Amino acid sequence: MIELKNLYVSYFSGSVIGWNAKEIKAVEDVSFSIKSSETVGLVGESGCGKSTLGKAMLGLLPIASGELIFEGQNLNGIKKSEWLPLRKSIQVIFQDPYSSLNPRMTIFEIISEGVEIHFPEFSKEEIIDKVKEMLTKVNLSVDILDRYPHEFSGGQRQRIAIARALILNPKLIICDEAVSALDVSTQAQVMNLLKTLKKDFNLSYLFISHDLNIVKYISDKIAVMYLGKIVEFGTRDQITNKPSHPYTKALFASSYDLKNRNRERPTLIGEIPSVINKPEACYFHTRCPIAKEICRTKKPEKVNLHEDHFTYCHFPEK
Amino acid sequence: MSKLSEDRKILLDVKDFSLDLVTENGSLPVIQDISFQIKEGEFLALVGESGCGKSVCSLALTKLLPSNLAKYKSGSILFQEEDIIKMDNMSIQKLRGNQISYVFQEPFSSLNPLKKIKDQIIEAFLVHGMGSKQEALDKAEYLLEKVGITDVKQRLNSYPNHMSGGMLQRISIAMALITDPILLIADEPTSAIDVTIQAQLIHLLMELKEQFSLSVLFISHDIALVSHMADRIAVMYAGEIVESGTIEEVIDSPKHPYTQALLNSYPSTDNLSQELEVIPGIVPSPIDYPIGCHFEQRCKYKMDICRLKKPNHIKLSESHSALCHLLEGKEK
Repeated sequence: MIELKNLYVSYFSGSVIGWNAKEIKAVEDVSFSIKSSETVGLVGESGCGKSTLGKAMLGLLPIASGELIFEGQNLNGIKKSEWLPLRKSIQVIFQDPYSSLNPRMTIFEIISEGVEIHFPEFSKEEIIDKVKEMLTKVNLSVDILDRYPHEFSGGQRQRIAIARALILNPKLIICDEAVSALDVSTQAQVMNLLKTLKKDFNLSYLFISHDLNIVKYISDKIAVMYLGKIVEFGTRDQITNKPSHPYTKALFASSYDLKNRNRERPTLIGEIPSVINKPEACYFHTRCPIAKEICRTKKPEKVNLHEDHFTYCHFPEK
Repeated sequence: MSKLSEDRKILLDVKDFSLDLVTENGSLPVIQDISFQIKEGEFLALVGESGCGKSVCSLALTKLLPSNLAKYKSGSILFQEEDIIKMDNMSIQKLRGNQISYVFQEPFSSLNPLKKIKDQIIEAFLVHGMGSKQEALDKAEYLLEKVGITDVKQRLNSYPNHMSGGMLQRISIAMALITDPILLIADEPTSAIDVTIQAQLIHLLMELKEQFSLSVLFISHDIALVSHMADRIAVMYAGEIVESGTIEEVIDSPKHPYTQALLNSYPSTDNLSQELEVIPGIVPSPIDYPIGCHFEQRCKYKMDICRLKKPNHIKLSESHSALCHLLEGKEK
């Protein structure tokens, strides 16, 4: 449904007025696709470009090069006005429901705003009905229309944010750390809800998160990102049970599972390099336990392991 | 893992401790009758969701809360058999940052951005009069190497904004260790940090604990994380400790309905294809904690008595206890 082909997103920094500005490739050569009613989890450590990629897919950041193909149409380079109708189809849920809901708007205003823009033909009554329907879908009471965000808890606010995304009948929702700010018991509510809605509305998700337990739980496929590049992409079982890239292995070994408790775990040495000063060739070689000479001199090529499972590594485990 | 010999001395003994916070809306009973012990060399994890009182508890242990806000209502906090609550400020100063050290969550805000690393690290050493400035610097160098910092000399002369979060947290740990503490209180020390770096820090913390024979009170919301390293665990809910015991007791056979629900709401390799358990409702606010059991409104096993009467701590084994009416009569 949505396909990314060699996508690059850059920021510029270094000079206030634009001279000598240094290009920082926040997202580099990213290619993968999300099929309809599929959840792709995007994992990686902070600063690796996960959110940048999400924003680029929403048209909130310009794409430097590459293609972003949504239902057959390349969205790279289209005008702002052409994005407008697409925003119905690609919606977003942000991390912090305390800052993503306008405190001065009522719940009705928040949820209905998108409908008023995208469906000007709807009458006031129709909109009210639609908002109520969405509130029921996200398990909130329909009498909260005139209340304000501060009256709700984090989990309830996140459900309001979901209702706001859902009311436009989107095909793809980008969930940028959508449950990270919530407590464990509330997290479970929101995740269960996202799973149910996916079935009911045939939704696809790009689920961006740093919490591996959550990504494992919710995703059909997982993309692992390191310093702006996808290092491995595959189904959940492939990534969690038979990871091929040393970073994927280390990343999943660093997550703490309730039922698999052991005290011995391989830890990666070193710090995460900065995106401004990425290492040469393979970006991971500075921390990689199996790095050899070639990793310092030559960029790894894409290695296809199975259908829908690929990695970028000179020595992938097969 | 928790083969702690019985003859180990109890280092910290918190007994029936209650604390109110004074606010505009009156006194809030944020901590109610909590009891726990830390033996020498033991690693105790205090877990709970946000707002349950775990951080307030950690600060209250050395009276770090503003005295006009915190009202110590009852109970005792015995550290090496002396009651901290009864101590005057001077005596607590001698303990705090000396025998009891802290590592906080956010290294960017817990370190002073305007002071060089070396001046911050050695401060406690000098304040507690443990030696000369040169001795302090030597010790700082030694500790920074211990916590895995490279280019120590250069790092000592730099400022916090030159370093990453993981590195600053290593420095915070070194800073906490400079006075040779007996008890280290770590309040969510890895929550703001990436997973691969978190794994490094946890590994480091466990090594240091052995090497310096530290006792650790580790405060976290992440029950999966602490289940990998603690000897014992205490689960806090709405100002009370609802269950405590060894890792095996609490994680593998939880007895309190809240602990059970919390563990089932957590995604793990066991329940990937199942629906996660949802705890209905929200955590009550300290403004209106129920009279009876605090978990009663959200509990699926609630009975009439739960609303009316506070449950007792039921001792299920030497180390395991839970606060629930359901367990009445199952006492060991």
